[in-house]
Amino acid sequence: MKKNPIIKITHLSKKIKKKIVLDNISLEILSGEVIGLIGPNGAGKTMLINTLLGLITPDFGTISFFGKEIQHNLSYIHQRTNLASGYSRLQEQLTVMQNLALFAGLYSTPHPQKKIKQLLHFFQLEKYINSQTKVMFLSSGEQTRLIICKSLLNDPDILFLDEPTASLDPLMKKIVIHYIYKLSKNNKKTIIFASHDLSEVKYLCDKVIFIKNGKITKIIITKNKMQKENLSKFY
Amino acid sequence: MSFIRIYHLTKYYLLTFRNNIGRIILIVFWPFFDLLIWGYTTIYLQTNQNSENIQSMVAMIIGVFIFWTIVLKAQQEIAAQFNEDIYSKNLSNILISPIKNSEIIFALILSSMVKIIIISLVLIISSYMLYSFNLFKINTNFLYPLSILYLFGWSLGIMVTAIILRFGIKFEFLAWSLALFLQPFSCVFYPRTTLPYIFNIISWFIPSSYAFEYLRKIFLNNSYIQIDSTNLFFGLIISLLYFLSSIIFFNYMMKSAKKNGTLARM
Repeated sequence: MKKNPIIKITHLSKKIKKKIVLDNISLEILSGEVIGLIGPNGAGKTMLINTLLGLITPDFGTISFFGKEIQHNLSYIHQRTNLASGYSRLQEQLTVMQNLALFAGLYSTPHPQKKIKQLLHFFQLEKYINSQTKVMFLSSGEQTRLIICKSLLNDPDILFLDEPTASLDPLMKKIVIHYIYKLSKNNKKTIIFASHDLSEVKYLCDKVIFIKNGKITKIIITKNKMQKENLSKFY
Repeated sequence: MSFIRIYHLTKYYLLTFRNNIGRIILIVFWPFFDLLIWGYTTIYLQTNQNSENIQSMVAMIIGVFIFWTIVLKAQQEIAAQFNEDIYSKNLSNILISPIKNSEIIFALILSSMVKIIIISLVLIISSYMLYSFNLFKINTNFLYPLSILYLFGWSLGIMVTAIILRFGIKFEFLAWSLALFLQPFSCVFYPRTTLPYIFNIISWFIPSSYAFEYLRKIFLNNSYIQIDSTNLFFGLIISLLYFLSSIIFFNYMMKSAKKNGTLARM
């Protein structure tokens, strides 16, 4: 029996300032899948994620999450999704705890303090639990890890990751990737992972989507090691 | 000292200024609007120097200044909060949370209200300590004018925020200046009759002018006067219309920002 997709995208197109940024994208993502989005700069990876999250309205096409259309169910969908983007930051004038408490509140996280402390410990930010240090004084890598903590506060069913490891050192990169791996395998979370780094994508993803000029050029299912190795040919 | 380096740095400062429409508008229009306000205030004071005593004039200026701060800060604080999130690159994090537009507006209004109460208290206490001006001695009902000023200030703040959402941070200058650009027509320090015909007509469409027409009379008389309810009621209706329009405008601009892709870049 065919499984219902958790995300269904049909003929998604978008033009911004006469430039086609998304070109007739159709896609079905199943629950628990880890999808890699790969493509050069300006290919449309971030654009696709922003459109899926409702920050951009498409010109044509439809998007549905959990069988519900995005247009009329945005708040419901946002409750069950989250994003860690290498391009965003938290409010720099607030402390780590104040920032995370805000988002725990926005997502109505149960037992927020416990959840926040748990995440800060895992991502080695525990020194900020009782600290008054403002986010603006955190290093770039620490800020990235903080954004990842934020994205996990609501225990999302679907997690979007937009180049989340861009400013991390190799060790922290490994820790983060391993955490995402565990999250997908143990908790059956659906993860959409946009990256330039093919090795990360190879390690994490069940399916790799190649995007160029806003168009899907290839979808490769990477169930076994050989298929993963072959990915390099397309990049 | 290298004149070549000074030349290049000067050229750089002028180029960044030339490419910043907001700074150009501020530098040109702000002094012009200041001139309007203080020019008309002077005309009003000159024509009334025999009929009003200096003490009540001073009380009037201090009193209306405190109330003008409500409009100014209500507008500025709403827009400034949004700007901070844009600069922090935190706005998209908030917008992808389950929060709704109406909840954002409500939270902005509440937070600005807290700030205005603090600012007002500082002004009330310092005007008492510095100028013996006691606002609480004035026996009147401030509810009507306060409602008009709050609603009008919030409306402007919500409109500015909507414009920044849609057109980007280059319109940040409005966050600091929109209320000031409307100040000459708000008739804060002088009555409508002081204004020339065209400006006088414009002032009828600015809700704060109704509040200040009333407040000035109270501060000048330093005693209870009967509320001119028709005039204040009309001002309240206009400010409510402004407020409702600003919410519609915000929702429209949010949709437009999503359509044009500007929201995702913040």
